[in-house]
Amino acid sequence: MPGGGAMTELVIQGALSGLLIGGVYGLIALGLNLVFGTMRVVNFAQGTLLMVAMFMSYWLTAKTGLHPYLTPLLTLPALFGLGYLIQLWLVSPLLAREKAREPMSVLLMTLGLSLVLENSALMAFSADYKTVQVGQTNAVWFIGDYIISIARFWGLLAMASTVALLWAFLTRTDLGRAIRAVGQDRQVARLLGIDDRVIYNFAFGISTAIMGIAAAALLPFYYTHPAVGTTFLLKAFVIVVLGGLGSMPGAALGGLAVGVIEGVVGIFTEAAMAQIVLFAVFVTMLFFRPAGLLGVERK
Amino acid sequence: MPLLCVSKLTVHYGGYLALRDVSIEVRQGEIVCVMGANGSGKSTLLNAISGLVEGQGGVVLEGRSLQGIPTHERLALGLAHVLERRRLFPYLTVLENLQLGAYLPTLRGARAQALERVESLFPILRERRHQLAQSLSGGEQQQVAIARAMMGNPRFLMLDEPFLGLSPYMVEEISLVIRAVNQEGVTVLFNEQSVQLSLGLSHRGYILESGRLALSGTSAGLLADPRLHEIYMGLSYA
Repeated sequence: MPGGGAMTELVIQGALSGLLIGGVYGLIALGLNLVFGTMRVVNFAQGTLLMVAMFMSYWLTAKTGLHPYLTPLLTLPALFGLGYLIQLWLVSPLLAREKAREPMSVLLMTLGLSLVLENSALMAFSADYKTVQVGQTNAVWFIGDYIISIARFWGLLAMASTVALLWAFLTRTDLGRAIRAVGQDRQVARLLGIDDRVIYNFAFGISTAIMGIAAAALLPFYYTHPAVGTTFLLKAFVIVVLGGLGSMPGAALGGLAVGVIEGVVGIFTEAAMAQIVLFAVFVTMLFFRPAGLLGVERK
Repeated sequence: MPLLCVSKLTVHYGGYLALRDVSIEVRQGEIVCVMGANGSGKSTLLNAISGLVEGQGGVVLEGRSLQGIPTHERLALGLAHVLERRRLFPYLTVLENLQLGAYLPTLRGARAQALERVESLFPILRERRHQLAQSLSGGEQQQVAIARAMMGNPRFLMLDEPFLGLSPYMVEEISLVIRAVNQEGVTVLFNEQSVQLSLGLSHRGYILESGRLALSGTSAGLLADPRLHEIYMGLSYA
């Protein structure tokens, strides 16, 4: 093992790399949190929807030569529509029958949906790992002695701007405020003339559309594969528990934190160990601060 | 024709009978109170009128049956309902809570004027605009809750226990506001346990006992009625 100054440099480099991939993690957690914060449903299909988004972007890039970073122009509306319809046709009918505040049957349905999507993708696209090569794929910047992957840097920037845009939407538009209102008190929202079912459709649609941004950010440096969602979903769970279920800034910061933990731990040991540390943090958090770092207490 | 006409309303919660054959009327321009002990069905009555709970029987607002009309379409018909314990959106600011009161597209155009109007009714809200609703005192929260309902420009306002947990000073303030709102032409129906408080504020009252209508009449008539004292034996008078 290196010692002294070299050691510090390595740790900083690990943290930097982690921070950059953490942006993408944050995006996935953001989607998970938007749906949870609005209807108290943990969407187990969130990772699989990322996989769907990645195949869309991959396909567009492979077939038309469109740069991955431009694919959201087409995939965002498609993914929004997909999420809107999943809510309208699959989630809402189940939700209407459930009286519980955190509906179990819906949670299981999203798990089922993710299995169907994943296996359909396996059938349609086989289990090959697909990658695209673009200018950003192996490009790096040097800042002093540190290496910054350009593709990952754009990923972080995409996350930051998505968080900012989503926040502006949620606080400055009527629809955005209605989404937050429904998450806080569905009955009162109805009394004010807000149709909560339509709000749910929008929340699920937006949360799915965000996966299109994550997918475009990932594509230049990550493989596309039918099971790619599972890896990210598990991390997103750790993130929302770290940052706080339902908290938007929590999802962003939690994503960065998880990236940094992975990056730094990965320097000292192998990648598998980093995952173990991550889930140890997850379990510890659940014990000592179940609402998360920025989580709001629930009534 | 009365503004609101509830006829033979029955509500079950599972096997529990919360309301049985209750009929009430509220006329244009009135303040009417519903009194009764805890569990007598006061809140259930209001919740059935706004459609939050389902019941059998008739609910007719301005000649139009509300049967089958979902809750979120009732504000557009002129019906506003402030739930028990204020129920503000706790993590939204006072201003955001008020803005959501005029969420309906038909109300958005006049939102600035509506805000002006409710803030003149409750001057303290102007100072609290950017505070989170959960950081307000109980009395201030009640003011926001009523103001939020008024943002929807209702013709009929229902208030579920608007005085619950308030200081005597705040009770007085909220009473004044209810009168002021009524004077602007809004018909009011509210719930309250305390007989003195309710009848002091309202034109007429209904008294529920175990989900049935026990007594009704003008406020002055009820105060003089010996049966009121029988029903309320052992209950708080304050």
